[in-house]
Amino acid sequence: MTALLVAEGLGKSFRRGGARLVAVDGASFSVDGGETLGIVGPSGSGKTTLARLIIRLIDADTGTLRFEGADLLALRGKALRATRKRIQMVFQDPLAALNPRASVADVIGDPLRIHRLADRANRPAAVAHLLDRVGLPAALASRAVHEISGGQRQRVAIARALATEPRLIVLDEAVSALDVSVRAHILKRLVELQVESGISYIFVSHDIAVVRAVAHRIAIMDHGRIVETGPTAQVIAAPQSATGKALIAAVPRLMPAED
Amino acid sequence: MSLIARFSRSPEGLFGAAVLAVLIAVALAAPLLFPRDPLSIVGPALTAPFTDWALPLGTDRLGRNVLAELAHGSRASLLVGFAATLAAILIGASVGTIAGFAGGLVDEVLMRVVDAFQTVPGFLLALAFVSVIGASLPVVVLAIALGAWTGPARLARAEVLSLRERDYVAAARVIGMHPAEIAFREILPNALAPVLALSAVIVAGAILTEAALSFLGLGDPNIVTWGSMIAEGRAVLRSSPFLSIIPGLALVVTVLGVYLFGEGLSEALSRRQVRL
Repeated sequence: MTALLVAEGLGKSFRRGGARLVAVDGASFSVDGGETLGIVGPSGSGKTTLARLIIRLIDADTGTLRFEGADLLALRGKALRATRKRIQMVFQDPLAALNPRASVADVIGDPLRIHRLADRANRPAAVAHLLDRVGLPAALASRAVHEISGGQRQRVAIARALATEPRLIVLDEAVSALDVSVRAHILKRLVELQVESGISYIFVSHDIAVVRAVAHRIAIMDHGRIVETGPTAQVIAAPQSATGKALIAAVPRLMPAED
Repeated sequence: MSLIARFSRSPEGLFGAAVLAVLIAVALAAPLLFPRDPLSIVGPALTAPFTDWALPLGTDRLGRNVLAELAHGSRASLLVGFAATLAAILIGASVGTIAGFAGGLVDEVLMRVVDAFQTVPGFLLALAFVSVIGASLPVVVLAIALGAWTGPARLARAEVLSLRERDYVAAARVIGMHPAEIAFREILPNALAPVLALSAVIVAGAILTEAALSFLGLGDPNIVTWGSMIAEGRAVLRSSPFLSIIPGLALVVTVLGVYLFGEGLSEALSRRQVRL
């Protein structure tokens, strides 16, 4: 199977004061169709910067990024906006990631309108269908974003990401701000959606227990570098890198079960 | 708590709203209350106020009804005040949004234009503009807006600069929204609240500028304005000071009312921001 997304030597540094801060340093990885790649690392390891590089919210300094065989980093303007249909993102804080003035129907309807996937007449039905896919009642469409709960907001954000039927969704700490029971529901739904439609995920999190539950493969990041990559079970059972060992040792509930 | 409920808890805001309501009612009802042309002569010249109950505020030096002039004058003041403010906010918020959202060279150029306009006193700018183009209501409105749009532009830019880093703006980019739509549909509406709070100060200033232009004879000559009434009264200031004092008081009450309304409004808006 050919890889959906291939990153090679991706790098990004920021200037802070006089010093140069390397946020992502030569990251190389690939994601296959229908696969979930978990990216784990301590805070400040460059996970979020890497997620934003992949989604083209920030521009990479070095490296290449190929999506469906095409050079993603070369895209500009209109071509980039058109390609965004196939790569979507879910952000960490569902309150910050939704326009506070918008209604649920606006939030989910916007990508449908922008990519001309449903005209004005068909949009309510399409929005209702997307709400159903993330396990929310269709009646929620008329509510304002600020009226619904955090868990509902994150489902709305996922419905927005699903609206264009993307091939890849980057989830940046997408369940970290949610309480445990809501988190379990959303993770379960994400896995079901993957089975239904063969979508790929890049699942970025600091929480290795969450990543373990959904990822086929894990990449461990530290100081902007990917220090270890491998199948989830293998990385959890026998981490090779110091960072990997430290991250797994930091999950006390996990270790006795794995031993 | 809704904005109206928060607003109603500020006494100065309520007072300002009451003054504004009365003024707007008078301005709207002026043609019904005083159907005759306010510039027509109705009685002997220079009747003192409160002497003839058919002409409660007396007559000016041509024998025109001062109360009718005052009521019709409120139309010009309020119309110019609100229209100039609307124009100033529209221009200012658009320029500020573009500057803040585009950044870089566009931002630099637009903000230097703002600087240039700010270094010239607004009244001088209006004066020059009206004397070059000629006095008429739309020109006066535009002339006043020309000196007043820089404040909203700066404020909108500052708001947009902080809002454009929010995740919902990133999310709008991720779904492929056009940058112009992101700027004007996603960001601008959320940046507008503090800009609108500024509008009361602009309305008050615009009313004063309009009065000052009329006082100097640069207002629209075909309509009565409070500024032109004060200028008219100036010729007989020693013998009949009320002819300048009455429109002057109307001006003070109007500006005060608008200002207090704005105070109440910005207080209500800032309370909401603290809560968020």
